[in-house]
Amino acid sequence: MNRYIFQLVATWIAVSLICASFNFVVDPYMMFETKRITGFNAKKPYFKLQERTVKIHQVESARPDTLLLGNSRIQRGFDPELLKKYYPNQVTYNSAVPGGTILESRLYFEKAILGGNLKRVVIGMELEEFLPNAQILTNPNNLARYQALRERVQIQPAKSYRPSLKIWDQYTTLFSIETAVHSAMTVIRQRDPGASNITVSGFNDLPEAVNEISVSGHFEIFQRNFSRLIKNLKSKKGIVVCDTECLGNSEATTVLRDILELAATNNIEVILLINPYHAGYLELLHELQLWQSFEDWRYLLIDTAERYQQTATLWDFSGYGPLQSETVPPKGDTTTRMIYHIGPGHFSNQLGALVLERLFGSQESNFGKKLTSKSPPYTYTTQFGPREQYVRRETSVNCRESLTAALNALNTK
Amino acid sequence: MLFNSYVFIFIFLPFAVIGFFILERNISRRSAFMWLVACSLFFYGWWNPIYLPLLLTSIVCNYAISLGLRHGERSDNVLVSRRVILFVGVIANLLAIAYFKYFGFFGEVVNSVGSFGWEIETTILPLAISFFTFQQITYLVDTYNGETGEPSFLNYCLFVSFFPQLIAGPIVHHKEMMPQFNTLDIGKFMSRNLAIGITIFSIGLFKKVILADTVAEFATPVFDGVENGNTVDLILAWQGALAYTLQIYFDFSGYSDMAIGLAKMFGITLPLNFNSPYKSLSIIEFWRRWHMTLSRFLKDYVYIPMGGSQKGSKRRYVNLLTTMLLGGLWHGAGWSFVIWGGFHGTYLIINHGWHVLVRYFSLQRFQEGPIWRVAAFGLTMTAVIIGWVFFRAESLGTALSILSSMIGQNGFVLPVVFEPYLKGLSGASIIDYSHGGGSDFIRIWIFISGFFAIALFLPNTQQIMRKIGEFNPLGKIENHYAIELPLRLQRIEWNNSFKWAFSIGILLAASIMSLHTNSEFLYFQF
Repeated sequence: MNRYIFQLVATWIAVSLICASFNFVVDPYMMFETKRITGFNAKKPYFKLQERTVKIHQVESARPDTLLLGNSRIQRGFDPELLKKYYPNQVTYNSAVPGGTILESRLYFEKAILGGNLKRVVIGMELEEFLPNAQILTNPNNLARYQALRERVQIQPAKSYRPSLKIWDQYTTLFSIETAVHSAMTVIRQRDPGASNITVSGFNDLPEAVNEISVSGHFEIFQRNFSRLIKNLKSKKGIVVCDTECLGNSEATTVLRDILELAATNNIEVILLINPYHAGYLELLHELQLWQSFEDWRYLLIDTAERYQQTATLWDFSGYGPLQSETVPPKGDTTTRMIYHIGPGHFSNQLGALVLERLFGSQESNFGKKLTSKSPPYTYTTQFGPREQYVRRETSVNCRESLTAALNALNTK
Repeated sequence: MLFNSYVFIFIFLPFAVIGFFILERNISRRSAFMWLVACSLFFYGWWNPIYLPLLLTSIVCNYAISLGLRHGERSDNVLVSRRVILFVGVIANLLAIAYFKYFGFFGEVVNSVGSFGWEIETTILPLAISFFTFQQITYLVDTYNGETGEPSFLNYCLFVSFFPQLIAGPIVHHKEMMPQFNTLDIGKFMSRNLAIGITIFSIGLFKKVILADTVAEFATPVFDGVENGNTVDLILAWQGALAYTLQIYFDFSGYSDMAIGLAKMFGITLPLNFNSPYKSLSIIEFWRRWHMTLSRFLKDYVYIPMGGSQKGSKRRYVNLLTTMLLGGLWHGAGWSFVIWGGFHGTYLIINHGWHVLVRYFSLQRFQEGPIWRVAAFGLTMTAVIIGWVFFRAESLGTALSILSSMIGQNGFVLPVVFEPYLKGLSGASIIDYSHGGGSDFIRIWIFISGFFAIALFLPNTQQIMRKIGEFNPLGKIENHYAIELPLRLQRIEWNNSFKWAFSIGILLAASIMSLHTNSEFLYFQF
């Protein structure tokens, strides 16, 4: 019997070590930053399963000079490598995560400061987080993710940082059957064109979205995303119209002020960004009677940024310009690819490059505006004129159709 | 401390086992038992030390009452009659459990009936209170009947607090435990007990962390979604119900295996608690295979004292229903559990009524046919699954919503990938198609089917371990449901060969490498 016990324990240890070695070599979540070999483990289709945890550790070890923060729009829209053009010898890290909230952005920001090199940060702002009872902040999944991240970040005082959690995360990744399954699948899926390919600097090059477009087409994606946006913009009591004061009392505003305060203390430049949404997103705000709230939100952001004008600026890339009002292909069209947009909220890397060019390169462009208290009202510049032209244009029909379909589907439910 | 946690497996358990054997070999059996009691109390206190005094008080008071009962048995010169002592003892136990477990529930019921507007503070349910309270009530009743020996306080403490069975059973009977404390030759069979114990524990751990926790991922979102006001279609509703049916089986049966394996490491044999319940062909059979120690407790201490089947058929049915309602309530203070118990009581009445009809019309010969067996299996499983929906749902509304979805009241949605294959089917227009989710759909149903195949077609733990002779840790099985393994499965029989050491080593490695989630056992809440 002693021999039996010895054999059993030896098998257990041997199997565990083999699994751990395999997980380390393949490194499906980029937890160990093992060498990426084309055709073996270069693509990381399962990275997203541990993306938050991995990025919270990497954002410090990467010691970035520039940090990109936000949700999947930022994660998929901005390739940090493009900033090499403007800051050749500096490191940029994209720590935006799908479904990321401003609460999480603050944590990544705090962690990046520990790296000691941080000079500037670009943060994607979202109206839906500032609305009262915003479900995006209160929903249990997001709160649980936030709590898990929080444990991995230095919260004041500085001594409370626990490096053991990184070791724990690495251990549980290494000695894990789930990781072993994902390691095996990572090797198998190397030739899958739809497998996502996250870069070392945290950018997702979106092959999954390309795959989705070829299956469903842009029209369907717009419709689905409209439905999701409506859900996010609604509270449990339905759509709540909110003025500057009510927006200013939101948790998101408090967190934003914390970020700006922390940046000012550490002399870090902050660029607040209103994303280059597709014009369909603005149409959705009109349909939901949230246009005035959007305008008030912009004023709130202007006011907040100006309080920290030494370090903070606000840029607005939304609107009805030619880049934002790109034509959506008709229903059933799965072959036409939009260049600048994937859905009403998500934009492509190409549009992201133009945003970065506007922010860090050429200052001469009509795309994107730096907002100050002297900027004219949004309604004046946008609603009367460009919007009316957009609505009348033949090319906006498909987008409006997909929006109507999403609204109808939700009304019938 | 969970059995499926690093701290238990790598720190507590080795510490407890090694300490126990060192003391047993070098000092005394008594010191080893003291060590085991201390470990058990530490194990219990790990969750919430606040309730440790409650457990200790319960043990001390019940032991004192049992001494009183025994003293009264021997002497005529007593101040209080034995019947009064027993009454006080049982009522004190019931009051404790009523306060901690049922006060809030009954307060709400009274409030809703009488609109009194009472504000009832919620109390945190002490872990395992149902298990250790009822275990001790049976001890008091049997002491009153003169069926217990005279255990030392130490042995009594160990009987109640023995950590492998303390939290979620099996509900042990003093007749199974007390004699072992005196007669076991623990040291002599140490390595054999360890080998058997580790094997059974590993099988249980695998059932819990690989099978139950995997399938939980398919059940939880469905029940939570409906609880939050969403509706689900027929496919999702069945996914949730079937996945939960598997989850609760592998979770509880895994826990029971782990408890039996752990106890065996100390040379102690715990009773069987599961015997492949989903292979049952009737509800009566199901309750002889599912949570067998609870069934035994309900039968011996509730059903039979009420008169059982001795007072006519009508009274028998009333007793059955009452017993199962109380069995439901034992699981938790909520209407869902009461309804679940009521369902099973009704099932049992129908099943017994059916037996009467079969005898009356001499239908016994049909019962051996394959069609009959398949129909009986299907009917039994359907009844069990419906019961589990009530058991799992957090509210009556959730259970009814899922059940209505299961009969197609909320549509039938398949991933669009199936559309080309179903176009030719008549009536396919009733099917809606959703975008995406095809691979998830296939994965989920492969898992559910595969796990059902494991539950229905593979031998269970006691069947695998059936030839460990006098050291059989799994107790007796009623002859009627004795192990009947098809010839092809008879090769699956544990022995201390390399093949088995290798296989169990792999199960153990896979299980330990899946411990990160640390999910609780479902029966911990009872």
